[in-house]
Amino acid sequence: MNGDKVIEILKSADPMLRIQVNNELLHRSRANIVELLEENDNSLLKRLWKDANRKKRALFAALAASFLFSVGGGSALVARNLLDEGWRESINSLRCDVSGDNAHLLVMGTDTIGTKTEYWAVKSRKSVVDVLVQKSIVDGASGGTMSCDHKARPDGTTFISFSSYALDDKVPHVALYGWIPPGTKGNIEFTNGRSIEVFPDVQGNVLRLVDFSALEEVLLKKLTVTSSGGQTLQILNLQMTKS
Amino acid sequence: MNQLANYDKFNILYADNAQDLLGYAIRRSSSTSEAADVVAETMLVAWRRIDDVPIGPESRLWLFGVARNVMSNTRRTNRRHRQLINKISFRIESVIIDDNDIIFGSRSDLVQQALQVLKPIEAEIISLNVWEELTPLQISNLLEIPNETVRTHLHRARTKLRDTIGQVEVGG
Repeated sequence: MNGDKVIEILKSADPMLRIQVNNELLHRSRANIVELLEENDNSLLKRLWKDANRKKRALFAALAASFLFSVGGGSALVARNLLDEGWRESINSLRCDVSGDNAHLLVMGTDTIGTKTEYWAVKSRKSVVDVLVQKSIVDGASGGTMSCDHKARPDGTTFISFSSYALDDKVPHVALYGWIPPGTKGNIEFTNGRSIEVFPDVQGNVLRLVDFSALEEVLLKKLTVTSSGGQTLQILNLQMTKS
Repeated sequence: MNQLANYDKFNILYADNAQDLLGYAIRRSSSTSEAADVVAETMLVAWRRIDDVPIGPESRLWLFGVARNVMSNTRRTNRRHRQLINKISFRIESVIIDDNDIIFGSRSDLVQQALQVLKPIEAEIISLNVWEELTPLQISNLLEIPNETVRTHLHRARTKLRDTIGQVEVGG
C-alpha cells in the first residue's frame, strides 16, 4: 500500500464527513453571538472596575452594597426567594445594580413544543434585568437568558423585546416580552414583513412565544399599540441600529 | 483600535473561520456539545483578545491554537463565564444537524485501529495535515515545535499507518 492510499483512507474517515453542519445557520448565528458577547461586556460596574485600582474597587463595592440595601428595602423581603437560587445568583453576577432576590414573576407561557417560559424582571432606579426562565415539560431540559439594561424603566413604560432560542427541533423560536397598556392590543412588525399581534394580561405584561421557520433572520421593526376600539395609541420604532 | 473596528474584525474572523473551527473542534471532541463548548470558549477568547488576533489566513491558525489550549485546559471556569459559554455553545450546537454524540465511534474501525498505534503527537500531526490541511510549517507554528520535528512525526505516522492498515487489509 502506498502513502497516497493511506491518506485517502484517512480522509474518508474524517469525522466531519459524518456530521452535517448547517453552515448558513452557523454564519447567521454570528449576530446573535456578538450580541451575547456585547451584552456581557456592557455591565456598568465592569466598565468602572476595569480601570480602577484596588482601593477604588473596594469603595465602589461598598457603595453598591449600600445602594442595594437602601433601595431594596422592604419589598425585597416580600419577594425574596421566589426565583430559583441559581438564577438569583446569575442576576447578581451580572453586576447590574439590582438584586436577584427582588425579581418578580410577571407572566408565563408555553410554546408549541412544550417549553414553558417564565418572564421575570427586577428593576432599580437606573437599571432593569429581564429574565426568561425556560424548561421543557417534555424532557425537563432547562435554560434561559437574561439581560441587564442600564436605563431606568419606570412603571407603565411601553416596550417589547425579544429573545430567540433553538431547541432539539432546530427551528428558531422567539420569545416576545414586554409591557403595553392593559386592555390594548399590540401589533409587532418584523423586518421581513411579517407581523404578530400580542395581548397584555390585566397588568399589561406581554409574553408571546412564536415559532419561526428555519433560516429566517428577522428583527423587530415597529410596535403599534391600539385601543379596543381600534384607535392607534402609540407607535414605537423597535429597529436595532446594527445587525 | 476602536470599538467599531474591533466589532468588524470579529465579524470577519467569525465569517472566515467559524466553519473550520467547528470542524477542528468536532474532530477532537467526544461529543457535539463538547465541540460546541470549545468553539464558544475560543470565540470568547478571540473577542476579548481581538487586538492580538492576526489578520488574514493566519487568524485560522491563531484560533486553532486557542482551541487547542481550551481543550487541554481542565481548570473550571467561574460561574458567570460558564453561563456565557453555555449561551454561545447552545447556539453553536444548534447548527449541528446530526446529533451524533460519539464521534470517534463513527470512524471506521480500520482507521480507529490504525490511529491507536500512533503516539498522540503523531496522531495530532497527521490529523492536522490530512483533515485540517495544514502544512508542516503551519503545524510547527501551531504546536510550537520545530518544523523538522513535525516532518519526522509526519513521516513516522504515515509509515505506521501504512503498515497497520496494510496488515489489517491483508489479514482481512
